[in-house]
Amino acid sequence: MSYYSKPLNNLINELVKLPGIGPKTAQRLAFFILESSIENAENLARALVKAKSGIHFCRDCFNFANDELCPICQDPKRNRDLICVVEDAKDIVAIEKTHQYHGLYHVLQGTIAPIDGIGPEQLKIAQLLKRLKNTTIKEIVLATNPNIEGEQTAMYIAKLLKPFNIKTSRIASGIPVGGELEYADELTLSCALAGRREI
Amino acid sequence: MRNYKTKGIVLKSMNLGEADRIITIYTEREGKVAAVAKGIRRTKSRFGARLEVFTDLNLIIHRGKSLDIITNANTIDPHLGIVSNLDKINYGYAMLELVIKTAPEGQTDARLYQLLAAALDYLNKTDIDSGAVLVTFNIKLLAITGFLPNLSVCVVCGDKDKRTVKYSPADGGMVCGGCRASGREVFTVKEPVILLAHRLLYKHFVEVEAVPIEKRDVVELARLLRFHLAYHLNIKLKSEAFLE
Repeated sequence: MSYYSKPLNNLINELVKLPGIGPKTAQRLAFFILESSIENAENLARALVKAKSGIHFCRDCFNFANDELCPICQDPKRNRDLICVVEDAKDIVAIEKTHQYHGLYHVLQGTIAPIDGIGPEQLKIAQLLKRLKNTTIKEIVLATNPNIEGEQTAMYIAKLLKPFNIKTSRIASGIPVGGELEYADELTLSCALAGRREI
Repeated sequence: MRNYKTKGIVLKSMNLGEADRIITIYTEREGKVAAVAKGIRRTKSRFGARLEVFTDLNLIIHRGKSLDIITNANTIDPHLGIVSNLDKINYGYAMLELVIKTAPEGQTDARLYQLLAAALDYLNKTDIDSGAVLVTFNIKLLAITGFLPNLSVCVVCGDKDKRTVKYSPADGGMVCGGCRASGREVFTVKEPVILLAHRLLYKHFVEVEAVPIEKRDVVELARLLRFHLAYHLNIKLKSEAFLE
């Protein structure tokens, strides 16, 4: 039996479908929306519909875009010799925040996950290879997450890139800045030692 | 006791909320366990890469109301030889998936933990065909879980006549010409394949290297075990599509 009116119940049921939102949080959000002004509620509804209907994947890199190409692919100042391969569009934001990378991106939209049956054909790997034909790309940076699935995906792509004769690099992994060696695990420390550089 | 100490091997991990993960582990003491590793996705998490799949570790786990919580993890072996080799990763995943799908939650079997640890240790170090390691693991796993096909005698009459060897998934093993029920699916299995199955079943992983192994016999035995798993346990491995 529901204690709320039907429209309120519908709102709670829709909010509870969002990731990380449980029934209690959904109820709190629904009450907040009800208690706020009608303008706020309309703005939220409009923003949701506009984002969903107006945003799609970039033709080249599969980042989110509201035109045919995303703002990064459209930017004439970006270095078009470099492509950084990431798992998710959220990873682009993390890399952009460093202000250290000025090349283009390619979003795979996931990683190879054998136990879940996710293979290379479900990712945007074929599109990456297609992108490399007839271009001036000089280096591919594989920036998938440094976990087993990310490493496996990077190794798989590196194998496919061999015939292209393009420099392929992998982002470094090891001790985080500000971390302490004493607390590092064996796998992280091995990666840090393998990727050591001359100073 | 709300906390328990156990050895365990990480089988699978799944993101939870903002920075947590649900880690599926096969433990020596409690069998298959799903436990939360809090804050593991943060760069400076104290767990680091300790809870990556394939890692064998010593754990302290807090018994929670719904899900258990991992409070401490110390690596026994991260199996670097597997995680740095694309071919071995795929075969290793097939082993983990076999355990995920055959081991029921809440049922403890220390032998299964020891088998998985031995198989991963061997795959980590060996240069022999990874397919042979997987098929050895598969047949030993079926023996532990009680689903091993009878490859010694006819399962109906007990006849040992090796010249009429046919494997019948429905009968759970070999059937001779006289006992074969019409309409039942059967496969011809060559004698070297049966011989290989027996050798792999009764040898330790470290002794497998000394067993003369023909690639075609390994492929044939893997096919037989695949049919057996599909028929009796309704298991089809998703990771199998990634092998070779």
